[in-house]
Amino acid sequence: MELVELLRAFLLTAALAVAHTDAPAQADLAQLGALYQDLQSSDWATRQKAFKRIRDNEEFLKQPQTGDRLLALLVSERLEMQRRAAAGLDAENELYDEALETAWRLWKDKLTPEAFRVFAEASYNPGSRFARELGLRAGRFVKELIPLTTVDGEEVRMYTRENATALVGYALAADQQGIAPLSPPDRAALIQALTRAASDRAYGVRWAAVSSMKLAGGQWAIPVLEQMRTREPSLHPTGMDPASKQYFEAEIEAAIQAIRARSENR
Amino acid sequence: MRPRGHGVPLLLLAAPSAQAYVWLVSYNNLWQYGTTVSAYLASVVEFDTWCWYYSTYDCVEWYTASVYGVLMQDGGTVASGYDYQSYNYPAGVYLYSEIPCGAGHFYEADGYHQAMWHGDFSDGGADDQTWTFIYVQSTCPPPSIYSMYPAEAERGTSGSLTINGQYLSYATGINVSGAGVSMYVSAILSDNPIEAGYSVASEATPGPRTVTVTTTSGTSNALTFNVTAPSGGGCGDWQKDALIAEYQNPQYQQTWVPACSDVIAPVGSAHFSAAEINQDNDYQASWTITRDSLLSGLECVRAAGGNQPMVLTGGYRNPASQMRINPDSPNSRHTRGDAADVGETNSYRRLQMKQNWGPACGACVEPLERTETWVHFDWRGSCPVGW
Repeated sequence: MELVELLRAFLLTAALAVAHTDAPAQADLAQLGALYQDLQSSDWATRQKAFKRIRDNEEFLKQPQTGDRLLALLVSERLEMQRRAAAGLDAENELYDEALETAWRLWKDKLTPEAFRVFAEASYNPGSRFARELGLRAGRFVKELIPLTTVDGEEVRMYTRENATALVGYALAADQQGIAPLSPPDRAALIQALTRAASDRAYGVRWAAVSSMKLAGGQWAIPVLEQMRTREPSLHPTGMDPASKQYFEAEIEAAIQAIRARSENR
Repeated sequence: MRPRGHGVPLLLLAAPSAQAYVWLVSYNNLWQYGTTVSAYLASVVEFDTWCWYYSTYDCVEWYTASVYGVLMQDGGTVASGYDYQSYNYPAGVYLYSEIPCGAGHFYEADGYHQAMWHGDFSDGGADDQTWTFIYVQSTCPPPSIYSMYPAEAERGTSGSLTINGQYLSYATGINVSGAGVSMYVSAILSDNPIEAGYSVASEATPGPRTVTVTTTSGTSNALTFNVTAPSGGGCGDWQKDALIAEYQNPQYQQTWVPACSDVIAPVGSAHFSAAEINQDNDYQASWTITRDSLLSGLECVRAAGGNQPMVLTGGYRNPASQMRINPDSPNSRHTRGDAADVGETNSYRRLQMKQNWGPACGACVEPLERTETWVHFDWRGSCPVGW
């Protein structure tokens, strides 16, 4: 009986200790709720201020909702950037770039399909650190990634396809290096996506396909690249300037050489 | 009951025909009330009962009483007084002193008491031995300050100033808000005022600072101390000062303020003119911030692109200009003098700028989806994660 009482006292003490630890956090949560609201403000400065207060508070960052709120912020800020860009205005947005960095830090080790899609559709360069880190994880989200390599619609989608094609290359490279092995069906789907990207109507997507094959292509890629070399000039309605032709052919040649070098090393 | 007091010698009067007893009673009382110490010292002539009923030679005569009292703090006299009364009235002095805040003090009240008849105190009494003492400590209210002179100073200067107020004894420090201004207590002049030393750094941002004084009893209210630009302008030119002031204006949400040396006369490179770089600069004819890294970086990108002509569509922007062009990025590198936009619509060249030429020249390149007819380069060093 005495032992039971002791145990009960211990549990009560532990519960009180936990409650005590949580007490300040509870007080902060009301403040965090207001900051979440501010992230949706129509005033950029208000959103920026709220974001910085969340970013600079580790406790706020640990709250389960914060990751989702930052994803929502990324989506809405990107829409605003697209609106400005479409109007021919300077669309640089320091809030977006800072939020992307913070959101990625929160999510990169616990990516969900939904979060992956938001990041894959974000505004970034295919050669950026973010793209490489996202690409290393892309093999787990092939189902979400493949559609992004074929999205159509407004001009901005070209950049989505270009970035998605780069992610395919990073995922295949991670597979080759044994960092993130792919299942055979996923590997086949990604290779098919690269092959398709090689004949995309947008030059940037085709270039991304070449770069990805240079990074992770196997023997299967060589005929694809040879075909691209032959066909590329015909894809420029007004003609391809000599410098462009030279750069493109040099990139294709570099890709073929890289593939052969990898084959020999195996 | 005998009166309270110390050293009360009972003196038998030498009256030939009566049994009258007259004596001196001396009072030395000392007490603390709030932040003051008070002392009351008195000499009283008293008679015994017999004398009240039977007039005698001694009884009907007048006795005089006198007292000389001092109040001492830590061995030094802080108050003194003397009183003399005839017709047997008591003589008394009331003394008091303010207790300095925050430390303990030893107080002593000492009196020299006399009662005399016919000029001879041997027939009444004298006492110079009575004394009493207490040890007190006073906790004062928090300090308050109401004026400061001077209340402003130029950047890059130091000196002394005077702060007037109450309860400033035992001031332990002077607190100044913001960066670049420091103050210290150099002397406390009889509790009020205090003399302070100040120092204003040359890079201190002009504008108001709040000043408070801390004592052992708390922190005072705040006064304003203004940091001003040196006479004739902080950098010696009003336009240069105006440009720097934009970075200090909260309206423009800047997180950085240039030093005088950051603001230079417009400058260009071999293929990019100062006018091109400063096309969005409201101060383009006089002042700019243009980094060497921008000039060399642009030349590098141009060379990487086969030395084809490149036209800038944007370069340095002062904060007001940046706010007009893009309020979503007030701290764009355009305001730091290391960014430029190169006009380009050719998709091949845009791609090369992003993928190859920019990175090869150490540039950060903004994602192209945001810049449909130009490519943004900057040389900040550490690029955003997605660039």
